Amino acid sequence: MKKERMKVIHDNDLEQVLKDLGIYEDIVAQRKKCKFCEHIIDLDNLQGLFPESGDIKFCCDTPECLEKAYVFLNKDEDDA
Amino acid sequence: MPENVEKLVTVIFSFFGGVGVIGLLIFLFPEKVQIWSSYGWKFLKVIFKGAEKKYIACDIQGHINDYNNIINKKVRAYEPVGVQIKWIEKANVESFFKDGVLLIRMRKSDDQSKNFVAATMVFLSQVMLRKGKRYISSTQKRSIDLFVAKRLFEEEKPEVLEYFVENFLVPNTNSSKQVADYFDKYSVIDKAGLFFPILIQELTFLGSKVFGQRKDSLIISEVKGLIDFLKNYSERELGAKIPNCFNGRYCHFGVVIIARAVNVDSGKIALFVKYLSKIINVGIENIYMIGPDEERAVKLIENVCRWVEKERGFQQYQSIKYSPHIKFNGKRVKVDNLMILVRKKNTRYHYDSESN
Repeated sequence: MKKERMKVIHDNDLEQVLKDLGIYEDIVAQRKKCKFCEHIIDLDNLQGLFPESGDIKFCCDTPECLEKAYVFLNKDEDDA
Repeated sequence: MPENVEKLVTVIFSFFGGVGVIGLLIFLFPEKVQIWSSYGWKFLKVIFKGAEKKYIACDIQGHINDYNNIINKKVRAYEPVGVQIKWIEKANVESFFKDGVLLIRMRKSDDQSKNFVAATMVFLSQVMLRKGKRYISSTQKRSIDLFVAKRLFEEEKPEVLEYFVENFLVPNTNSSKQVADYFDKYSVIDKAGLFFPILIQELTFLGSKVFGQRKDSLIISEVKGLIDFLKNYSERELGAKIPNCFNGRYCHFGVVIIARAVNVDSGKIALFVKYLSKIINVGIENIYMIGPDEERAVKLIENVCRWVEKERGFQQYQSIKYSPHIKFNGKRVKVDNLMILVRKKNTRYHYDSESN
């Protein structure tokens, strides 16, 4: 079966990854917001991160925002 | 375990002992082995720190990939794509922007339900009906992902269902009437055993024969009509006569039931030949022949298939045994059926908005 990679960060490595991306301090200082609900992002509620137009965007841990993140990354939206 | 596999296990065991058998099992059932190993890692994580990630990854990969195999058996047109968890332990700004993907946080395994559901939802949104989803509406896409996720959790990991229902299904169906309606329709279609073998199959065919940037309202309303057609079909009472062909602009299929005792007893294909000629002449490309999984009925279905292959340029595409719950006197009754799908050899393709 063909397999597709899903990139994930474990809680134990989260701090290191955020430091590598230069955003750890911002998260700890609660200076970042969820792209979808505008909730303040902290180390507890951070669920995902992705690049957009040269910036790093965040998604909080509510299912609605996680869903919006994958819909957003799948792009094309249209409705019946 | 099939008889031939059992013999092979015995032979390998005689020559190579336990190691050979384990190797064979990994080769034949990699997903099952991953699920079993996740139980081992779950136990080991208490005493060995490195086992934590192994447990999370094996649990997610094993169950999702196992369910992919289940879908693949029901939908021949499905091209299964499995998941492989890649742990990011250090990051690099340049490659983060170059990859352009969502990095998902996995919590400590005490919260594995949350991890499992999050990974499944992201995964299904990306791989389920990848081609077909280009042409359908967002509510159609979302409802399909939710329904397939529900079936996956029921089959593979029932302990996460409650978390999924509370946090994903209910909020989605409460906030969108269309998603709720579609979800309800899929449930009815699935009771009749037609969700994967017909609906997902037809949507997969649709994705393979429509090209370009087409996402016109015609395709979206056709998919809606296809879902309604299958729902009505799934709700029919045993023996009731209702439309059994869906002949749209893109999807052209018919369902032929070969089950009436009088026809099965006679074993004659003449009645079906007449009907099949009629639907083939109006452009039906896929014919799902359904009947009881009983010797005489199976023989008749196979004879009808042979005729349509020989005389009308169709070919047998898939044959599956399944157990739908059909309606009889207002109640659902479980039966054992056989479904054979025959497809026209040269199906129509749609390259632009003028292609009919």
